[in-house]
Amino acid sequence: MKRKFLQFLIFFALIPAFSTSVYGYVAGSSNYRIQFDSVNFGGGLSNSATYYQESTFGELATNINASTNYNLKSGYQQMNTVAIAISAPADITLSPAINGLYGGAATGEAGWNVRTDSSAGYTLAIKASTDPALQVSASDYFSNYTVSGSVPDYSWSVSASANEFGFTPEGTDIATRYKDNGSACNQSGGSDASDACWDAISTSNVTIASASSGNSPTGATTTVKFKAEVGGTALKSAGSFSAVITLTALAL
Amino acid sequence: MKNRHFYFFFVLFLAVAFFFFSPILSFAENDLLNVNLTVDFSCNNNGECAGNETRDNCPNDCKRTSQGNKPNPVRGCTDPEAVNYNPNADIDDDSCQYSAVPNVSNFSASVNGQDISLSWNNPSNSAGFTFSAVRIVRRTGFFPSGPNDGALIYDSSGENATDSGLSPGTYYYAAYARNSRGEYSSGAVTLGIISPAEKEDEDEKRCEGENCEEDNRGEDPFENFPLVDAKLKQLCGYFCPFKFLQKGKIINFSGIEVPVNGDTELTILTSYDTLPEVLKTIGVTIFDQTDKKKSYSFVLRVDDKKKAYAAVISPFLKTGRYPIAIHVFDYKNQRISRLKGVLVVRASFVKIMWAVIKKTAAPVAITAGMGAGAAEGLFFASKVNSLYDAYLILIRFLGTIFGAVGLKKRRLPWGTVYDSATKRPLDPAYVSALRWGKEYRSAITDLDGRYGFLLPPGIYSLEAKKTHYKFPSQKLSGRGRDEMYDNLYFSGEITVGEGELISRNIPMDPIHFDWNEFAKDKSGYIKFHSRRELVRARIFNGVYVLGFITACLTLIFSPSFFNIGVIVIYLSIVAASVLWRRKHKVVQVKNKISGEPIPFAIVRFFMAGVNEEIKSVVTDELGRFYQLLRPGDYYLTVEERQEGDTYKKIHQSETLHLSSGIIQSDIVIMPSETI
Repeated sequence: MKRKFLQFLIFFALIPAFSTSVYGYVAGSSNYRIQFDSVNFGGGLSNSATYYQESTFGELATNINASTNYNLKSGYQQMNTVAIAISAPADITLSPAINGLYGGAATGEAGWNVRTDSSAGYTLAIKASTDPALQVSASDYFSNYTVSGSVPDYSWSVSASANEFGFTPEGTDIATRYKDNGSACNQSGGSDASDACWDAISTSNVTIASASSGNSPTGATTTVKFKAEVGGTALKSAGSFSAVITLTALAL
Repeated sequence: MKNRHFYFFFVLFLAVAFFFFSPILSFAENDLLNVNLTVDFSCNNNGECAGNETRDNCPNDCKRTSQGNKPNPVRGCTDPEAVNYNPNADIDDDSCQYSAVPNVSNFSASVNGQDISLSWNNPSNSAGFTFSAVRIVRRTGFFPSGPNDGALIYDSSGENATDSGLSPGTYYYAAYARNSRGEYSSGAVTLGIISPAEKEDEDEKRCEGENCEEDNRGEDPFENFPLVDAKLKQLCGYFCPFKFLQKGKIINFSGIEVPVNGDTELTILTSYDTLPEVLKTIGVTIFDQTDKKKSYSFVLRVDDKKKAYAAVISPFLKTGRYPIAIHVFDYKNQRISRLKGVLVVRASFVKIMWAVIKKTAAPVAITAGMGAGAAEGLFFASKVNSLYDAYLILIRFLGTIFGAVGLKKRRLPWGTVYDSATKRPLDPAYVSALRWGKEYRSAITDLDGRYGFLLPPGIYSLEAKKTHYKFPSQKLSGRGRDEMYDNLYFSGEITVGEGELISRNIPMDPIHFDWNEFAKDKSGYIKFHSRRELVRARIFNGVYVLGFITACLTLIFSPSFFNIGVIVIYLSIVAASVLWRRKHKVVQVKNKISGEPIPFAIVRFFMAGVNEEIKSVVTDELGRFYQLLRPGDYYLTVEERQEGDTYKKIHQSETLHLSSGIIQSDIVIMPSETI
């Protein structure tokens, strides 16, 4: 009976320990929060004129381990701060307005600055909230851009009888899929020609930029250019079309 | 045992809790962005219907009705009430005309004392217009404004009238052509001036020795009215706002020269809305291209629907440059504008060419073609060796026609005129029966060289004529018969009794043919004749084809019963030729080994079983002959001409069953045949 009581007590005593883990800190008051702690026999912050070192003694098998599918940070020091921030540009209006009787194209762009101090870097993905992305309603819309192959089109091309909406990302961190060699896209180690490598926006996240190291404090800006076109013989009725685009920055 | 179970589940619980409640090791941030686009839908209103523009979405640019939009708009008259309404027109180009009655042409007046003689030419009927009559009215002071404005002078379908017993003064006449529906043309105008007697005398003195009638002709009647210093606002081009139309379409031009098709009516019009309301009359004067003193005037009259001022002028027909003047009058009869230019009248190239062909070449080609076709097809061509022969054949043909219709008695042929060297009958040859040295009767031999006379009892002599032949024959002189004919005639008197017939066979010597020379170079001769015959056939057939084509073109451009008849004649010639050749199948006698024909051979036909000679014929220079027998069984022999005017029998056929009386295949003779 007594033993059972003790077991029960231990069980419930451990719950708060795990509870604090849910909140991301191990101790706190109204004035502070301790994010992580460690029980060990030594360590602390050391520094000189030329270095800062924070060390912890007494932990075993500490390291950052990674594979294709996971990153494992073992040890107190690996639990340092991983922060990511993404700017929020204002909504854009494609211009000029298109005359649906005669056809035409409209363009616009927005830039997102992603800042992370994750030493593993980040990814930036884009998706639309609807399919097709640019629409007035489910029956009045611009079709998503038709890519001629499996990789983005180097040059924008819409047939005379079609109305389409697409995008292209530009920046130093753009994904290989949007890098070009002057005539084709998806070129590893390629360049980033302006107004090249046009793709369709889907309702699933598509990675448009990534880095393998932190870029804090400056961050990296990825500009996404949007374009819509009404073909010469397509005939588009008048209306106010809109697309809700979601950019997701993920620290690795 | 129980403790082990407890600690196992406890650790398991911790592990599950660890994974569920562990803090997230990665962070993500996202941002939502609205991308907006405005699409509008507006027409450019540029007056052109293009692309996706339709009458429904861009009515200012597209004027089509139910056919939808067109990228290249058609300009024309879009008013369904107009006579030249174009249902395919997208954009109205102010060419709508509402009356298509052409005016009379050459309307003129000449003064003779107290009378004014009027003359004109009525317009011809055309598609959409049937001429009915001309109504002429007269006014003083100004031209009549309509068919009922003024004194009626004439209303009929003639081309002249006289207005008699007039007092001195200026008289304005307007002639209105009327169609079968009672609609009137805009009016042709002219004027006549009756001078006072003393002035008339002066005029006579002045123009003594000249044609005084011309004093009142050739002036522009509109020039008699003062031209005030007022100009029409020129909106476009020199003649603007006037338009010149032919076949409902506006003639495009720049400058003062208007190109006009002389084969088509010309309409001069202007939209009612483009001219001020104060206007009263628009007059047009066209001057003769060669004599500026001659002129013909018209007025542009507003139609009943008040949509346009228009005048329709009959086709000019003659090409040339016709000076033109357009006068615009206000309600005070003052001219406020005068425009001068030139109508350059041309005929279409095809019409010019056709006029030349029709006038000159066509009749010659058609006639020659007929003649050539008949001659070659009916095998006459080979018989014509001179113009005289052609003449004789023509005379004989006419004689046959007359005989067929009973206008001329047919004579039964009894004698044969033939070539003394080749024994072939001569066709045609002219045979005369002379009495007391003068020609009493004449005949032309038929295809088989035969002639016949039915003479009253008396004493006659015969004479035969043919180009390149000599009569009487020297060659057979003194002989009563030869291998082919008996009862030969050379000269001398023939006594004809009651009911007797002359049945003498007349040999004639060829002038340019020598049998010995011929025999020496038979192959060359045959080749020469074959080639000559081929060339002749090609020429004749070529002329026939050319004539037939010309006849067809004539029928296309000038359809008439006569031209249809010509085509029928051409086709009949072909049909007759085919029938003739079927009935007169030409067969050839030739050497089987060398293939060479056997010329001037005598072919005799015997009735099988009876061994009686029925007919004989001599082959021509190419070994050919034709013979028509009664259907039956025959055999034939061939006698080849030898030197010394003798003949040698070289072939006798087996019995031939000629169901149609015609030998169908050539007679091929082995040289080694023994008879």
